[in-house]
Amino acid sequence: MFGLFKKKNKAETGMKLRGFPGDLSTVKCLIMAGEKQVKLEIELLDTQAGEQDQAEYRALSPFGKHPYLQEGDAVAIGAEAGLAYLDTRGKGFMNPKKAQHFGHQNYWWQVSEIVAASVESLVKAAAFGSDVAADAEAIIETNLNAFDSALTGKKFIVGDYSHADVHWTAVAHFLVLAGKQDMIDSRPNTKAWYDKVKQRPSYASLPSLEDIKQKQLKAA
Amino acid sequence: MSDLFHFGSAAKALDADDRYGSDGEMKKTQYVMQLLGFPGHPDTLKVMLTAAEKGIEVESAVVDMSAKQQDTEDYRKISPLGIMPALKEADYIVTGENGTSVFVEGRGLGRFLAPRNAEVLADQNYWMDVGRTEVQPHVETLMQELVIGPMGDASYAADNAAVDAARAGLATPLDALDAKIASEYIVGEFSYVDIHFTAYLHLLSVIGGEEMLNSRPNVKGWFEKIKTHKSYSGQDIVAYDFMPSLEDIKSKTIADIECGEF
Repeated sequence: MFGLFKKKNKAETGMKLRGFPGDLSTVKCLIMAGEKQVKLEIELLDTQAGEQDQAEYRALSPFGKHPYLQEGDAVAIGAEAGLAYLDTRGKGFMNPKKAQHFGHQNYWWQVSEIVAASVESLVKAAAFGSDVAADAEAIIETNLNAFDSALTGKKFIVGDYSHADVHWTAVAHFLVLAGKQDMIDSRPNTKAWYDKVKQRPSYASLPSLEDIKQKQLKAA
Repeated sequence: MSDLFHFGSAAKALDADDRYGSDGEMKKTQYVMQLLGFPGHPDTLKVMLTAAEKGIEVESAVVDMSAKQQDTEDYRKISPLGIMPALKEADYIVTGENGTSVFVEGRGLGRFLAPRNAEVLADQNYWMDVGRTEVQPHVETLMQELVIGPMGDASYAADNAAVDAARAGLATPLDALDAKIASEYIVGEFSYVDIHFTAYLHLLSVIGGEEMLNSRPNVKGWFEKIKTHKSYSGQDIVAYDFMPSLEDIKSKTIADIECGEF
């Protein structure tokens, strides 16, 4: 997410991702992998069963952060690290070159984090019948209103497709899976943006609600 | 409603004498960034440190978190979701640490703060993530209970259970940090993650948490180095010198970032 760096020249094979289809961070990395055309070997980390807290996983990721991305000796743990690592692959970088756009990209990334827990809880409720916090929908609505306003007159969130779009595509996808597409459709700018991003190849193989119920994680 | 950015050089008339040099040329103060933040707020300190590292001059003003000014109409006009800090340059405004830091970096001088090697970059981002989720919430709890709460209400009674839990919660991430620091800086070279942990550990140190740092030799050594680390901007400044004391926080005083003559 931060900065410019040297492109990696490794062949685009042999990268492994361990994550969960109902985990927003995992889905963000799947979107980025799709955007950068990175082939992933997938392994399920059943966070619904608490595998991220078990000793075997904590030996790899001491704070239980996920997904866990590995390529040879290199590891990237969590979405923040995983997205930055994946962005070093393929053509170009997704961070905007213009400082103003870069700043706003990261702002919208930060806002997406505010809604993350609420959005995940809605999906888990739809998939597994788990409880949803009483204020979850209100938190999403408030932030979506700001998001919709910011999208006025724009094709993507800031300039070209960027990390911000990756974060919010994952959020929007989870809202749809949770049966809350009305939250998107009732906001014209958000709807127009979503209609665009869901046409991208990176969206095609994101987990369905059935995948989450069956705990099936597929590579892009 | 008032404009919270109407302070410092921005409050002066465009044709004020001291906005121009002796030959009538525009002075650099016309391009100074403005920061709205709070001296006891980790994300505000991160932006100040980034500005100093990058040689960016910043005029600062306080958004009083002890009076919940971040929730007022005036601040929400700038930052609709109340995210702090807020940074302005000319007519551009960005809020939140994630956005403001990269904007300052993009405008600044010297080497990039983000590592250029992909593996090191991922390591940096992982440790920033750990800082945000495992350290910052505890630091903010301690600041609220021990400093900010009493500032806003003299009868404020600290939640001792929350204070104890926050102190206990810091042990594991600080142990991990101590084990992580094997060279000069957290991921080897100086990077954003050093700025993040400087903000956290500075606030811990000013509220009596020195023992948590001093009892961990690698953390202690790193922090001592940070305190004298010269800015990468090439200017003769040390970013840490701009950090607020406990008295500064209590008196709601926040420093401008001044980089000297270029």
